[in-house]
Amino acid sequence: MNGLAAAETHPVHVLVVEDNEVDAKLVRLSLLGVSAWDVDFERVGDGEEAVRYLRHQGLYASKVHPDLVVLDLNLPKLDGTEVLRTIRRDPELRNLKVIVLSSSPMDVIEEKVRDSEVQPDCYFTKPLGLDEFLALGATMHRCYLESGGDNQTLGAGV
Amino acid sequence: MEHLPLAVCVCDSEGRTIGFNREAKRFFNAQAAEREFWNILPEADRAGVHGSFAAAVGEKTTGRWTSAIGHSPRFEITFAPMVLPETPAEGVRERLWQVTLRTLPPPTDSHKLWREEGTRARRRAEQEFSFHFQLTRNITEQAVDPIFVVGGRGEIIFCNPEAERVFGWQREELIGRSLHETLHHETGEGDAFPVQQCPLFRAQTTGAVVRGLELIFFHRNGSPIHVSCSNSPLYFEDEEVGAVLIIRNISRQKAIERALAQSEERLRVAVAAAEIGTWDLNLNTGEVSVDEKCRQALYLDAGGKDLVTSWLRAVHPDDRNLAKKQIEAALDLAGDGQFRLECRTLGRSSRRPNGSVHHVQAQGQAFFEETAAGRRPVRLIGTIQDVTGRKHDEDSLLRANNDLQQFAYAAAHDLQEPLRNVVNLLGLYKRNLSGQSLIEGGDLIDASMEDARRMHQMVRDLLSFTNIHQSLDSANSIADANSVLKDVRRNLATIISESGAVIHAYQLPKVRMRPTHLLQLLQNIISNSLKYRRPGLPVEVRISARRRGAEWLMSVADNGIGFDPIYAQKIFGVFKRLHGRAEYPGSGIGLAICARIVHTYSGKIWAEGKMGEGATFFFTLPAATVNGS
Repeated sequence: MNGLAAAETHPVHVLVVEDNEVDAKLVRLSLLGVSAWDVDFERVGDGEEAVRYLRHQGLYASKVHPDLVVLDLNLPKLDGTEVLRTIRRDPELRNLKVIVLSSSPMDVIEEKVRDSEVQPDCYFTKPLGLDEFLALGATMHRCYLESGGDNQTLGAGV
Repeated sequence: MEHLPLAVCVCDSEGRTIGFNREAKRFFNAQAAEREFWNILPEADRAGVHGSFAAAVGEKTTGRWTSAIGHSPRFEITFAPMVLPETPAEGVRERLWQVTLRTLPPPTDSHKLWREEGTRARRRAEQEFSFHFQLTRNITEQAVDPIFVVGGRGEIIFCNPEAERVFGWQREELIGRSLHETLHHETGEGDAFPVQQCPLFRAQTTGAVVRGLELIFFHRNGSPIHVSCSNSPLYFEDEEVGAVLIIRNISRQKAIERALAQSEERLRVAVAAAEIGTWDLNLNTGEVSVDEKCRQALYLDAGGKDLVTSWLRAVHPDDRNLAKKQIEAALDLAGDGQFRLECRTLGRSSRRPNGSVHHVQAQGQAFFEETAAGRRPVRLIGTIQDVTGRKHDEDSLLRANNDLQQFAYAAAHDLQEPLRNVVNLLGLYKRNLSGQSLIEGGDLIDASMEDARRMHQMVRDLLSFTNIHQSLDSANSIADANSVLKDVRRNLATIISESGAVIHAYQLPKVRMRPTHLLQLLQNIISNSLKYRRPGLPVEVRISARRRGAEWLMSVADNGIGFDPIYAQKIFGVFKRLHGRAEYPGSGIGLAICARIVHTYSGKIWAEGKMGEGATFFFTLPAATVNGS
């Protein structure tokens, strides 16, 4: 869909589900660092809020529908895997791009994903070190494109 | 003398009299004992009688002598070897002879006729004698038990081949020897056995009848032989001349009995050591026999009649269907009869306080009978074992594993988060210093210090979490919840007075645990109530306790923000939190520590709550006393 008129496009809406403020900031910095990508951000601090946001409940009634969810696994209240399961089993949300970003090692993430019986589009371990974390932005961008996402998206959020 | 009935006496081969019947005693006279019997007869007959007797002895056959005509009265004497089947070896004097004396009618015209009749009668008697002789001989020769005949002094005058075989002596060697001194000279313990103390000898010399007297005899080679003796006096005519002794060799039976007793003892010891009870259900009568251990496992009262019903009543209600099903499966005609059941039992009698739940494991085997009407079960027999201790061990092992997993996860995951934060915050700060500012603000150092502190706190929390296990050895101490609560109030005094909280507690129990553990438990839960309070509402906490069998069920209820019931389990996890740190501070280990403390004392902990309507924490702890409060 590249090449559509600018008037008809909007930035890619990213919902960051992350209880750790420092990590949330770094996700934002790393995605902003990808020059080819036009993104804007919303953040929620636990799994329950994430589900409420995605279903536009309460405070989130007028929020734009995200194109991409960057999901931590170890969250207060609902776990990241439970949020992922909710997304994949909801016909309205099923096709949402989801990138899992957890401080657990890769094998632990894989195990948790397997146990949840649903798949994210990609998953990564949060790297130790600022440069490495910032470099993750490009990787997440590539993952987003490979799973069918666009740099810019047609139409407004629901 | 004319009408003298038959006179009979017994003598040895020298003719010396040993015994008389009543008539013979009268005919000869009392002073005649131990003398050659012919010396009592009229002078004229002595030489003739002596000669005939000596001839009979020499030929070992019966003999006869009739007094000369002219004598009055006339008499006839017959000599016969005693009914002792074997002829003793040459030179053995103890051969006995029966001497019968009868008077004869005076010779008349009918004398000839009388003589012929007498000859017929004598032949009949001889045939009868021969028959009895053969019969006795066959019986004694073929007998499978040793047989002895002893004389009045306890000397052996006869034995059969089995006696030779069992005791390892030749008959010739035994004849004439003392039975007691030869075969019965020691007690079973190897001490000398004086003949005066021998009950068998006493019986043999007093004419008493003995049946089934168990003694220890000895083989010639000295090995003991367990025997059962039957002894009865031997009469000749009316006179006791000795005793017949029949011996049964019961060594084999004794050895089997001993082996059986030993193996029973071994089994009893093994069963006792393994704390196994046994039971045996007779399906024909419906009767169950159980041993003491089984009674204890099912704490049945002694002497219960319908034990199957009693037993099912003892089984935990939730497990009764399973128990019934397993019994039915064992009795299934198509099955292999195997019975196996692991279930819980309930306190019912005075043997255990009510409400205490025990785990038992039973296994058994059903036996079937094939009848004309088909196959049917007749017996179900098996063992039962109280496995409560093992069950608790398994549970605590499971919990320890779970705790270890939680601990490993916490170390791998939760502790990394503040560490990464410190690294990243310092990275951002470094960029700021080099002019490539990514984030505005000078609080990066404060934030990284905050994360470092948080990590420190988490490490300490984890240590106190893992420490709870190591104090288990002091599980015998008693904590008074009332005084522990006082300490909690003192520790939390500042926050209690700041928040205007009111803690209601009535009479609280004494529990069997370390007071420091109860302090941690109550303080963590009450701190939660104070922390998660509803804004603008004074905190109220109610602590109460209720006796449940051997435990106290305690509850701590508050009027705080409550929680969504779906997280009722999750809140007890290590570093699990329902709220962001900014909202409510804390590492999220408080309730995990509470759970670990309660589990350490085999209790249960759970929480009930609703969003915005307060929370109640329940936990069970072992009571300090067995009965009542």
